[in-house]
Amino acid sequence: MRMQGLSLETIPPIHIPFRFFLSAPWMGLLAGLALLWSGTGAFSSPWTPTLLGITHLLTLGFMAMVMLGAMFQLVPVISGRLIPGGATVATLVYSCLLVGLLLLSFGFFSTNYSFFMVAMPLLAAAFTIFLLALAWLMMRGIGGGDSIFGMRFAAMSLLIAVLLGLLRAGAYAGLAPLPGMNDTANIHIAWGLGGWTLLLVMAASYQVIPMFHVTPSYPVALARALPVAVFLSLLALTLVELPVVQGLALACLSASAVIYALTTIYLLNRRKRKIADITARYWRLSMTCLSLAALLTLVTYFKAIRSGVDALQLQLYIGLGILLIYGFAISVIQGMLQKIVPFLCYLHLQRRCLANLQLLKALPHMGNIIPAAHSRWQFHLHLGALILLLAAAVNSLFCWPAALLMSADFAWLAYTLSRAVSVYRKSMMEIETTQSS
Amino acid sequence: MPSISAIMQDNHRHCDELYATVEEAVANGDWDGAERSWQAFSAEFHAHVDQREEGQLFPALEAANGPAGPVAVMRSEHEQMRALVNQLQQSLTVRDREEFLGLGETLMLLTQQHNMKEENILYPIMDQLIGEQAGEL
Repeated sequence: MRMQGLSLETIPPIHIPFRFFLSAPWMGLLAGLALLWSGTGAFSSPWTPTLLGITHLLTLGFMAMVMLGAMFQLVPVISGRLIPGGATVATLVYSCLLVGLLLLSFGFFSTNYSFFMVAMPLLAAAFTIFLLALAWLMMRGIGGGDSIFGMRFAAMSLLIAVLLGLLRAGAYAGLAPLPGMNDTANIHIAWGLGGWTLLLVMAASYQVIPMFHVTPSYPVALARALPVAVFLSLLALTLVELPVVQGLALACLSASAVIYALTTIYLLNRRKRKIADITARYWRLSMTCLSLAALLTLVTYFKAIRSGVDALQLQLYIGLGILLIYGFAISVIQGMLQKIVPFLCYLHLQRRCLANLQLLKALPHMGNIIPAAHSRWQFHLHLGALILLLAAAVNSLFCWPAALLMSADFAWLAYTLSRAVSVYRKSMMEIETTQSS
Repeated sequence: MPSISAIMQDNHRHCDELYATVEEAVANGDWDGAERSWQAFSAEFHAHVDQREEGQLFPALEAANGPAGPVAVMRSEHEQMRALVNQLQQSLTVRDREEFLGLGETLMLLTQQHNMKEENILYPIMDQLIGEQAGEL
């Protein structure tokens, strides 16, 4: 390991991760409201423009928004080096992502795909700048063990998912003929959810599950083998069209996801910290959804081979999307936010007290910043919304209540996070008043 | 012989487990059990931070011309952790469950991100520069 430029004080300013975290729930709320507005029509097929708009508000607006913000925070802490470019890079990435994803979704909702002509360069810029900054850091022989190992695969998957997304957006905008729905769309989804999202969650869990919940570590060989297996399966799915290889690659991808999910649940069951913990419940929910989604992937694939794509098949696709996006990814992200946001507030307040340690006693602790009762509400709203969304995939009667509860889920998250920031601001002002007097 | 990394990492886990016992007792309202477990945790916490790290390893690393900046940051984080441990002790004395659990969660996360830096960065440097100190831990 190189020691030059190594610093253990590498926490980025709080506004860098928080601009991402605080914007994300509003994007989720927009998705919920869009579902409410579109009524039962959105779930008639996985490829309706409205559902594509809602999906991208969730995947880019909520998931990628939080995941990029978290990487700006976590990578420096794990590796001991800041992501280069500081606030300038973060601001560029954030602004391009926000405007780009809103234009993309609006293009879908209005079916006026000329919006994509502006959305595409913005989204391309957001991810290119982010990935270049990350690559610069990762080239520098950093530590970080299994987590950084997994993050490299996640970053490569993100690149591929973005390229495929741009290809499809270009086709929608009329720049190129639209390729068949199944090929590029499915591969884009596979790299985005099975690659980038799953691999980043894996990499993060290798650090946070043993540490926050005091569980045994993931077995080292498994921790290294899983990201490789996932990445190679995705490569095979993308590059080899032979049905046998496609079937095997999908089986390997699903098996890796199930093994990962079951290992995580097993480790959580053996956690030494036995007190009720909402984040641990979110992890269990997320891993259960991931396992179910992996099995459903295989069912839909082999069913399509046997009986072709029928109405049931389309419903299964929608159910699979809900399990992966709302059940697996958004659950784990909400669970992590319940810890990361109050912790970062505390950490930055504490830094301001270093000159006068007496002030530490007056700081709000994590339970004051996001009360445990608020987190429990969040979990129940989220679980309710997930169940109703799955019901809506089966029977469109459930669309309205699902959309309502989904909006409530994100509105509550927006409220608790804003409340956390106001506790933070108030406390910071008190510290500054005391120090200046 | 196990490396400094291995020994100290085990020691971190051991402290986590001792703390988890206190926390569980507090959550269940078993204050007497919590007091007893707290003694064990507090003793191990101070042995790790005050003796092994600040008493032995940090001075050895500095004497071997190790990186000064990271060690200073670790010392300052220890100071912050001690402050929280003191606050926890007080909330234990007055038996304030919510206060203890909120402070405890805060200490836990603060400690974990501190440990992450030590385990990923500082201990591997120690293994390289002052590996022989492992025998005295």
